[in-house]
Amino acid sequence: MKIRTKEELMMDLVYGEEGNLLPEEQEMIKQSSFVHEFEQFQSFFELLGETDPLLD
Amino acid sequence: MNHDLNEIKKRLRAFYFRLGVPSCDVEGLTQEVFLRLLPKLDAERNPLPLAYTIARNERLRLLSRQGKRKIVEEESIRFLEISSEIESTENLLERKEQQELLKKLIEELSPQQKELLILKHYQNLSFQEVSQVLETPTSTLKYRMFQILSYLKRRAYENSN
Repeated sequence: MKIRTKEELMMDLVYGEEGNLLPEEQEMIKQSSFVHEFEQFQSFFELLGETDPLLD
Repeated sequence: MNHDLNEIKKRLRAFYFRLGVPSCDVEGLTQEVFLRLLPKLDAERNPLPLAYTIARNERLRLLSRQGKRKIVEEESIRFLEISSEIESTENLLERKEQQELLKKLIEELSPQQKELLILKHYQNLSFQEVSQVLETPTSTLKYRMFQILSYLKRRAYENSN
């Protein structure tokens, strides 16, 4: 099984599609920079949700 | 009723991540929820409310074990008190401006970028489903989606920091 890049893993996590995490991936998501970026995406998703084209 | 257990598991993981549970605890908590949920599954009933109830309880149990529960509750109350004080008209206006700017930025995306954003984010398709629709490998879609979201996030917040 191929190790996901940071970008792939981040997208899988923010959309809840991460599946089984390889040990290398588990290490990656423990890094504070990764956690910080993940939290930024979560916060941004609130704003993005308020900008749903259907709301226009 | 045929329960999609993988779908429930996916939702629970997202629930924990959205609650800010550390990544290293998410898998263990999700497994714990499933151990408790499986014997209680009833073919006639929607399992989601029960799954979320167990999930919340398991999280509280973990926090309690870690001695953090009291701290978290106190912090939550303090956060709510402070939040209500600082949620001023100025903040609301800034939020409105961010929404307007973001709408404009989305409109300015290329048609391909906008299509991907809508299919994935607003239509809530999985990357596998979007891959079939757009006939593009999932790894490529994830990389593109990361770029789009990073760009929008940076531009939407750059004037407010």
